[in-house]
Amino acid sequence: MRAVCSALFGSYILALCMLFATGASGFGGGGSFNARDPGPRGGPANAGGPMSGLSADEIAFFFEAQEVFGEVDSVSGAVAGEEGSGLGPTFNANSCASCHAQPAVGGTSPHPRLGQVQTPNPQIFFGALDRVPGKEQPTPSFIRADGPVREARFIKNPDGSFDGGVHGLFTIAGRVDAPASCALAPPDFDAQLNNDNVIFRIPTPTFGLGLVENTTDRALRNNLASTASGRRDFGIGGEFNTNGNDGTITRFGWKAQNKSLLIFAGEAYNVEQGVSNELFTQERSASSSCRANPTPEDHSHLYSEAGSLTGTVTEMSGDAVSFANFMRLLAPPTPTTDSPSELNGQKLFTAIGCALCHSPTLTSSQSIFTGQGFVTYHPYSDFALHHMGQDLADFVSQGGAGPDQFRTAPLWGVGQRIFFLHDGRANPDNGGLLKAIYEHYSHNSRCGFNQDFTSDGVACDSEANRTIVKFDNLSESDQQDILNFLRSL
Amino acid sequence: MRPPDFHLACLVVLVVAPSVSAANLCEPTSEIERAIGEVLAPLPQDAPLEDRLEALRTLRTRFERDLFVHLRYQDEVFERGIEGQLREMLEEYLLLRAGHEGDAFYLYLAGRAFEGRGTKRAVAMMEQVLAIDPDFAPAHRTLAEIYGSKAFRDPRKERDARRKLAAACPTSVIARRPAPLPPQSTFFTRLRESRLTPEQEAAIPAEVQKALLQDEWRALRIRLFDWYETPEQRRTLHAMQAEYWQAWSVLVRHYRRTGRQDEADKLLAEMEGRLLRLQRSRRGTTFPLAARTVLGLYAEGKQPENLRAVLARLKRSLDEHPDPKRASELAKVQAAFVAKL
Repeated sequence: MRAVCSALFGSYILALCMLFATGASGFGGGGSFNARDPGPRGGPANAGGPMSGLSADEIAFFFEAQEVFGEVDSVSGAVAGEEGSGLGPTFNANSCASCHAQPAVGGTSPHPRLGQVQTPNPQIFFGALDRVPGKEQPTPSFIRADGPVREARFIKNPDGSFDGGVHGLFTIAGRVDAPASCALAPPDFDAQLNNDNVIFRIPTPTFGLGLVENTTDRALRNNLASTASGRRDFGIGGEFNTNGNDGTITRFGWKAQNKSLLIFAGEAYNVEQGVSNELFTQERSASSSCRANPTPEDHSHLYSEAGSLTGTVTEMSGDAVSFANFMRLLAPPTPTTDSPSELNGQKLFTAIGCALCHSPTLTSSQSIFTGQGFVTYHPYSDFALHHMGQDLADFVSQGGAGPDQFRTAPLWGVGQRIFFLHDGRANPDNGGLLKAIYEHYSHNSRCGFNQDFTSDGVACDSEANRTIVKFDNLSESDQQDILNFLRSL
Repeated sequence: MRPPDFHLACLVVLVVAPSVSAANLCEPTSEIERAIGEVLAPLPQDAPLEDRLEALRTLRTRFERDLFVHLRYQDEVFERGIEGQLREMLEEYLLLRAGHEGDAFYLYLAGRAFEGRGTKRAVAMMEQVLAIDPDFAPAHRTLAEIYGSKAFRDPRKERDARRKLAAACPTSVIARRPAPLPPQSTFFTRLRESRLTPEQEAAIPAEVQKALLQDEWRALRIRLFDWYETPEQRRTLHAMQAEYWQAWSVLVRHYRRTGRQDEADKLLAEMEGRLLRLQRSRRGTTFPLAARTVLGLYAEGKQPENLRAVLARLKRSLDEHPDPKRASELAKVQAAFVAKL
């Protein structure tokens, strides 16, 4: 490994290659590193509540929407305790809150032994939940009790054309509440894995997203422009994903593919739970024998539950609207940066270039909600897309985001997260945050001299490479300070 | 101005277009009845609807313009189908109609396909059919069925449609539609838990599952004449949710009687989780029943500590998310268990 690295990259990169060559055993397991991810921050979640400053009515509105976010869906809503309806035909989960769980409702994947919400990955239960005995469905091999919640996308269709879409891990066939005629089987994930045709995505936390939604394009563009010279020095690009119709910046999702929280919610409701809604009106399965409900399954209500023509927004709106309202009013995580180590880590974070993409500060615009206008917040993201190179590339293009481009993942709340990167590859067993940092580095050795991109549009080098080399050149103590700082967010 | 031969060509097309005789619109011929019987006979009674539809599609290709083959196909969907199949059938007939512009036969079939969801549209299309051909008997029959239904009852219009049908087809009868739903499972009403034979006891889990499947399927089926707009749908869901609580309590008791306390406790823990979710859900209408069921099972099982723990959990959840309606429901349920605490 060292010889190959030396031959390919010269002495400058040699140190990094050595690090990777030995790092596999070092991450999280001692080895040659002393710096280590301290793990998810303990103590109270300090997350999951409404934004501060809201009026009493707005707080009540938030909690009503939160209740809908936590609702569990079954096929027709007939299963007791699962009163939401519209599940399937294909699905990855039966409730928003089952996956957006850690460290509080609205967050991300839970873990059975770590974090504030110690519970197994809910996806390990769906193959058996509410199933007729003998009709259980297998849990895909990449879903583990102590692994991240995942969705699976296939890179290509069987005919070789690009797919990129989500393929549900489960179907309703065999559930006690499914139409007897439904025989839809889940895809053969093992075969797809064998063909290297599967990529994963994990849930993004939704804390503070109302502020992000309420930030003007101009503010985002100005922020990106303010780091232009620094980024140039570090070889970092950056561009926004934009909406094809109005040209405005899209900003939600791993590739910033979704314009608004409402679109984000509607897409997730259909893709993750199989609930068609007013934003994504068609069922995803073509099998008519599995479609039990009129579409869209989730919709505005003419009558409230009590049969009245009037009611609260939550009562009269479709669930997707409530999901968006919940996220819109969900407070950002509360950082605890305080110790000398964390404060030093904060300085180093900027010094080595992390903050060039993970922008610490943005300001929202005027708001219809009390006290939410012109709020300065700390997402640690520029919400722009960056080329991350071959190793992180998922070969899925969404909007203007190419196969290796990802939105800078916001780092607020990272202190309480268990799994990292778009596919959850960095986890407590392999070094967690430290692994996530090093995974930012990528060099494609098959690229020629001065070649920037491969023929499939993947950058030969990750935009983060120089920053990661700087991180690697820090003393172990400084590296630890950065890790401690990140765990304070 | 079109050339003269264009009119001639149209006339020729009209003359050679397959026609349906009035008699064939009143009753199915014996040949058709036999053919339908023959394609469906090899299929078992509980064959998937898709298989039955496929068999009838073959027949439909063979007897393209036989009304009763089409009606049987549509009725299979109306009587055994779910929403997806209804929609697929509707799309099929809209496509057929589009390919036969101005043909009363296909306009009628497309209109009839709307009976499941969009009955007013079905009525409007029947009127279009009768504007093309005032003696088109099936349209009178369909209107009589719609105006005779509970949801769209109009005795005067029903009488009028019946009279016109009788004039065109004196021996034709009007079926009672919608067809009755399949029976609800009687398992829970028949069950006498204190008088079970060992065989009956052993069969309980399978019987519970069978009953739930039967009633879920019954609840999922489409019904004619826009049933989904009525509060009946809500009542159906409520009844089904209540049945689940009953089903689970039957299973808990079964596990206890057969010495499988672990399984009873596991199921009770799951029921408890659902109860807590219900407490926080405005849509859940079965909270009092669910609370009575869970608390009752702990009381029956002489597990007062579990009973107290559930109550404490419910109260804690209410403290975190105050809800006066749920608080009052819980207080009433709790009062019934005071002596057992």
